[in-house]
Amino acid sequence: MRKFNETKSQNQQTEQEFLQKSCKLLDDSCDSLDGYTLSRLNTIHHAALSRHRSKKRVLLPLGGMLSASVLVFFIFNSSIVGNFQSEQIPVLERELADDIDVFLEAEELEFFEEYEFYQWLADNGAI
Amino acid sequence: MGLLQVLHQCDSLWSLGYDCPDHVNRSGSLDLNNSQAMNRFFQEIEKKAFRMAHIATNDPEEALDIVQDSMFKLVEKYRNYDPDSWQPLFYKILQSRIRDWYRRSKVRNRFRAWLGGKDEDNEEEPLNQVADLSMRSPEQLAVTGSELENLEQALRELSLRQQQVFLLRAWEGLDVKQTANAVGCSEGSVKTHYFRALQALRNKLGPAWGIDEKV
Repeated sequence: MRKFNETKSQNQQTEQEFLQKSCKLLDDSCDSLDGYTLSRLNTIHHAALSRHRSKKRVLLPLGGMLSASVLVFFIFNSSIVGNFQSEQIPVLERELADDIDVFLEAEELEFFEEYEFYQWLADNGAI
Repeated sequence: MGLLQVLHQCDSLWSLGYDCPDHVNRSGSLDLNNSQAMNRFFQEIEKKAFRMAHIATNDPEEALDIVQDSMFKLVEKYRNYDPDSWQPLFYKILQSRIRDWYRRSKVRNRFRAWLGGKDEDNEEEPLNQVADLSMRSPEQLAVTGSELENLEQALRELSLRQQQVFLLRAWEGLDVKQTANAVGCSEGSVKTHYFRALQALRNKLGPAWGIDEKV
């Protein structure tokens, strides 16, 4: 049992050594990256951050301006149309009333009083 | 009220409208601090991220593209998250991008093999097909090459999952749960992949490094 524990402990120790060496080598490889790669990485991470900033700071005011423009357009448009309609409706009503008057004036009242006679004449007039 | 203050309030509104879970920092006033914190985070992590992608792809330009995509994605989606959560999130994105690259290169290689009339059955894994300029085995490299080259070569010979799990667990120090989340597999699989990766690496490199004999 003791031998098993010793073997296990030794194995863990060598594993730890192996991992430490691996990590050290990989860390060293990061420290020894060439200038071009470091420059590219720097550019990339700043581009990621600035892209976010520019996206917010340009698009948000633009979006706000666009919304405001649409709103103003609708308000302006609705007030113009509203005024136009408020002027238009009496004109239409007046024109319609005039038309009815003209229509009624064109037919004399006698015609309606003698309507039955004219109806009989139409039925028997041809005889 | 100055223009900068107005813009800063706009930032706050923007961040408030962002769909994020409860643990996320919703305070818009910290957005500027988050930006600085993210800058520091990128400075700390960029080299390791590049090395991981480079080991996976064996192509520095592809590795830089993968790191760039990962950083853009982190900023776009998780900038308002708690800075402590950035590390596992970033590695999750990075590993996802590496897997995407791996799948694409696999399809590309199949297509090339089909066009070139190459026998597809004899096709190896894409990562193994990437040209090794030295054309030396890990054993040969252990004798003649540098220790780092040995390690990189041995890591590239692991399966992608084993490689990812080993680098995240052993080098980056993520725990089993975080690694499982980053790699997209169960915690049990992480343990298995890690054990096999470690065993394979120790078998190839341990004796040459004078650390241990064959495991």
